Amino acid sequence: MTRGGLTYPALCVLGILLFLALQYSNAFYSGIIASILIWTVAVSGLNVVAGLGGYPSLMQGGFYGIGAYASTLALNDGLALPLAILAAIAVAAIAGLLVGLAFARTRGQYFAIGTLFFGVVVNLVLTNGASLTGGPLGLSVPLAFASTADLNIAIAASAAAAMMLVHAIGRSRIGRHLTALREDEDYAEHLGVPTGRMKLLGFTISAGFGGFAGFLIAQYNGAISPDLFNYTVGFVMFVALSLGGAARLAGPLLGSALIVGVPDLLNLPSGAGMLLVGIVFVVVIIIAPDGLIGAAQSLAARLRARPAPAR
Amino acid sequence: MILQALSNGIVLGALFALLGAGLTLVYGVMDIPNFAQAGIVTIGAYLMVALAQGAQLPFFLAVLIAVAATAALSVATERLAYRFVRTRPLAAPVVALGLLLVLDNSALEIWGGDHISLSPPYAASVLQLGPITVPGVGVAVILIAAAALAALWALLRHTKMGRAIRAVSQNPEAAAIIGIDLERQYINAFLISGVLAGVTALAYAPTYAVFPYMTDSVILNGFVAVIIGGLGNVWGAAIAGLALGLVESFGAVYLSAAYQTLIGFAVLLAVIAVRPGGLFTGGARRIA
Amino acid sequence: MTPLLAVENLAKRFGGVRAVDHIGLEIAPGLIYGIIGPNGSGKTTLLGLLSGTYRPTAGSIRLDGQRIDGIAAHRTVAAGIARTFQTTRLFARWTLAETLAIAASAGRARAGAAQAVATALDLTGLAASAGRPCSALSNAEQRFAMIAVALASQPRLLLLDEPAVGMSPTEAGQLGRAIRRIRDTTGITVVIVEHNMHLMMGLADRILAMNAGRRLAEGTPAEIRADPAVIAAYLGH
Repeated sequence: MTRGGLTYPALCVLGILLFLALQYSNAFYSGIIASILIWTVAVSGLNVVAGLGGYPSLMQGGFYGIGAYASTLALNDGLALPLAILAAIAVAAIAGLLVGLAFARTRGQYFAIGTLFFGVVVNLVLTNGASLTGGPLGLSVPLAFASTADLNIAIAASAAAAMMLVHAIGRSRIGRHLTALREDEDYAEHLGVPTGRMKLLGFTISAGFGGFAGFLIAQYNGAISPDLFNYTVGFVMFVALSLGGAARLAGPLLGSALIVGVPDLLNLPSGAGMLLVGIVFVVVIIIAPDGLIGAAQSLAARLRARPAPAR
Repeated sequence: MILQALSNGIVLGALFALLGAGLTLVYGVMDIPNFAQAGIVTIGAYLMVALAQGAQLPFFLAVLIAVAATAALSVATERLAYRFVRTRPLAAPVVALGLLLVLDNSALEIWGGDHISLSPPYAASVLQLGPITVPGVGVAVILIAAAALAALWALLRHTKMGRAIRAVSQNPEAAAIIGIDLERQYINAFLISGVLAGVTALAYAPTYAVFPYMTDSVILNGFVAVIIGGLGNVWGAAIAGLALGLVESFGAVYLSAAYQTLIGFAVLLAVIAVRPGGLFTGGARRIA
Repeated sequence: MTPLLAVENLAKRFGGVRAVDHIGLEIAPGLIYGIIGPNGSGKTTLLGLLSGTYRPTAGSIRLDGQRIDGIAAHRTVAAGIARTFQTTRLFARWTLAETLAIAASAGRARAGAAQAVATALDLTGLAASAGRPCSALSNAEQRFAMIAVALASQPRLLLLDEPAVGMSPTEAGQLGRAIRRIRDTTGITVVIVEHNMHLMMGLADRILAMNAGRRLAEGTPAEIRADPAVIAAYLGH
């Protein structure tokens, strides 16, 4: 995460532009943009634990689902909008904390597999907890905003704010400690970094972002059901982060745009869309481990470092 | 009722054992969670349906061709993808999932999303053992799994290839020093794993329906078996798979059918949280 | 005078192996204290117990009178202990300066972090290399860099685990002089595990000789050199 000064104003401008795009494009494009932006919130959160912290979490989809259901249940119970948002963030964050505690000593690919299973468990609970969650048919979601314009403002602002927040976190003490533990967790511990605490904090923050994104998608869709939140969602969010560029500010936005936007824009049937995503992802991971933004940065660095041609 | 749960559990367990064996073979040589195995089983199942029921080939021939295809597909995943992430343990599981996405969605695009069924010649028969009814396909699962695991054991213990694979799994550097071609053994491991995938398709498809995501839940159970049994430990995976099948079957009867898979995952989460390397790793990773 | 470090009846078992078998020792502040022993004698485990890497199975460790056994590694840093490792560990992708900055900010006295970094670079002679990525440093520079990182957290007790690994005799000599300079300038107490006898005998004020997890002998270098039990255990070392 680099240059400080221009970033926040730039993101504010971006937020405004995104709102305009959402509000004034036709239904087809508007839907795609909304999905991309909501995903950006979730994937930006993922960037904290996976990008900064280096922990390959495949369960962001689970917190996404938890947030969606928690906020919807709150609204159905008659709670006001701010409380519903709080419910989404808090319940997801607590779940993130608990999972973080459970996996405190798990690393690398076992961590990845464990988070995958957590995603499955969330989906199972959502599907089977019919009395609370409405079972496989799901729930309908009351619109908590005064108008769709307000919802659009919320979505655009959230995407920009999410990126700003993650940028701030990246440059804060927490961010530096997380990147230290990403580089070498045991060594960081011996430098005085409280790695256990930092990891839990990272998990909690990431989950909170996921929960908030869940609230947004619930509002935008008007209805939620468990198959919106199956375990592949968590995986594909990780794909979005990796493709766009983990630990890069715009990585989540770019990745979400590619994953969500490209298949929808090309009007591919969902199977072919995911097929394309899968192929692109495998190729990119093999060729460009730092994602597309990372690859672009390396290329730029190499071009800058090239000596002047001989005369 | 207990006996029925028992017999269901054995069938389920045999399936998990087969999947686990294929997964753990790859783990042993390459420390990679081969999620793509699920996709290969699915493609194998579809091929069997297409050949036996679509093209009307004799069932046995259809199975042979499908198994050859899954073996080739498995090797292809190694040559085209896994090979490049061997040294990057974080990239491996996500590449594996990416491959699974590709395979599942290829099946979706080629054959559509409907649930179809594979009807082998023995589908109609039923075995009656006193109060228990075991459908023909269930018996087949047990027989196929037993035969496959026995063959695998014989292969690993008594053939040159098997010994080479085990050597690589235990100590790649030492194996290389005594002249074993590591690349070759990686390919062999995937080849055998691919054959197992085809065999799993034969066992699995008639018992349940064939559709693009048919294996997604069982593959996770396969991983539970692998992790409990110890990475690279074929017998561990087989026994753990069987045990898991029984636990889930009884759980379905006495607790809740809906939460059947939840039990397996609860077990796995517990194992991963406490001992990420598995319960029975015992130092160096072993195959059989 | 209260010893800076007091270890009593310390033991660590790994499964059936007694890596450290009931050891006691006291180290006065400002000492350079050496630990020697054949491979497998438990030296690195002992260091690991002091740094919080391992939890003792028995016994106590007191730093300036306060018990620190069993606390997490990052807490020992806060208490004033820093260590280096036998195999070089650094944040390879980061510059030396960035690595030092983390150690300084997570260390004992966060105020004065910049000064701590400057002092650490100065004492290890690495000021010129601060801006380079850790992976770009030579082996000897990396060994020194680990010491600089440990110093950046402003410890009272510095634990060095075979710092001279991979160094030529000249480099080892520079290392010895640097360690002495560090102690003389800052008053830090240094515990150093080493195989390089030449370095150890010339540098240490007192030496603990270990064998099979147990204390074999303890004393000044001259006493250790003359100790018959030590000679018997180390013939040819």
